[in-house]
Amino acid sequence: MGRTKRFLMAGLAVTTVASALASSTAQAHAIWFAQRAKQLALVYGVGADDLDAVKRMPLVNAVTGLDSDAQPVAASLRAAGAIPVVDSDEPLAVVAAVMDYGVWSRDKAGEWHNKGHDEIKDATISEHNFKYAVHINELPKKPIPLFAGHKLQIFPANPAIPQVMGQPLKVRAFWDGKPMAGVDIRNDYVNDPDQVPVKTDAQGYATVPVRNQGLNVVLGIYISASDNPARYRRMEHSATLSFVLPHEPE
Amino acid sequence: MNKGRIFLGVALSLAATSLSAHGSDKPRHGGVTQVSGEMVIELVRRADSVDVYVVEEDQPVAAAGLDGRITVAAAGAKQAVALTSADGNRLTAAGLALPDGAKVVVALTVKATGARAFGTFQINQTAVAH
Repeated sequence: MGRTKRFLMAGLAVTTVASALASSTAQAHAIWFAQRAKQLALVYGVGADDLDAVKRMPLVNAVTGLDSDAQPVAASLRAAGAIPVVDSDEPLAVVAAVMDYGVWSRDKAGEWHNKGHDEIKDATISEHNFKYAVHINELPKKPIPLFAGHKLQIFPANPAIPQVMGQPLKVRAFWDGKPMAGVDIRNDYVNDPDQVPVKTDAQGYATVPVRNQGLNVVLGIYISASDNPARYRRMEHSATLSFVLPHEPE
Repeated sequence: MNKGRIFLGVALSLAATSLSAHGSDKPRHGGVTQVSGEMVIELVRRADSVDVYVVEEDQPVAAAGLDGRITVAAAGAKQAVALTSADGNRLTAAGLALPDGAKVVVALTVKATGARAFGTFQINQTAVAH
């Protein structure tokens, strides 16, 4: 093999690996909140794929609510037919959830298994997936706190969320309680899940246009190092920030 | 929850999304109304009780099909009382008095589906009928 050809092959291999990683990230499922029959539901999916979230309810290990004073309000999930809805005894200004989706590996043939690379010997990807969701019904009078268990959390960076689609939305990513650079931010994981993400800067900030005059699901993804390299090579954390812009009165 | 932290501010309300009921949201019993989802919840403050009326798309919602609870926050204290179904679309909390300045949350659950709706009211003498 000539030197040029080896160089091209190496370049192609790097591109392929990079594409595979980008692709795996872009195809990752997330959780977010959305209205269903006037109730707030937890959605598990990507794009228009609204998958079976009820069967995944046991993987949700925290649901947290805040009232308009940013005080904790008891909140829980209840299976209402095919969808999990949020129950609370008081109105929720903000609701959040954490899902530990477990360890997954993709084998050479492209199949995903709920196992680590210690069991899937030809795994090309092995990761532990964590999914977080924060939904804002109404910005509380006090700042939104970091939620327990949310290793990655996306906040609106300004005191007000733009009310018209197309306007710039500045968000800030926190990882382990600190502003985080390099988090991939997508501004519409429902209608444009394959978009090229914007990365947060050194202070954790990124600015994206508000995509919809309706439901907006902003997604942040951060890949961290494995805390158990013997089982999985990395940890993927996906965090959504969702909110709804009002439509014109009917 | 780490409350020692952060961040962004405050202000803005995204709550206008709840204003989607069809039909009139005007009070019919001298109280004040809040729209929650498709329900119009009317709170009526009386001398010795509190009544709640529920309408959806101009049609009364049978109180017998609802579970209700009213939470009153005033002077740093919070009190929650069950609403009992009365006649027609009326639920009531007998013996409950709402002090001026109280924040009142009416929580309704549709028995058949478990769906919930909330109305939040700030009590003052001019806003709620006696």
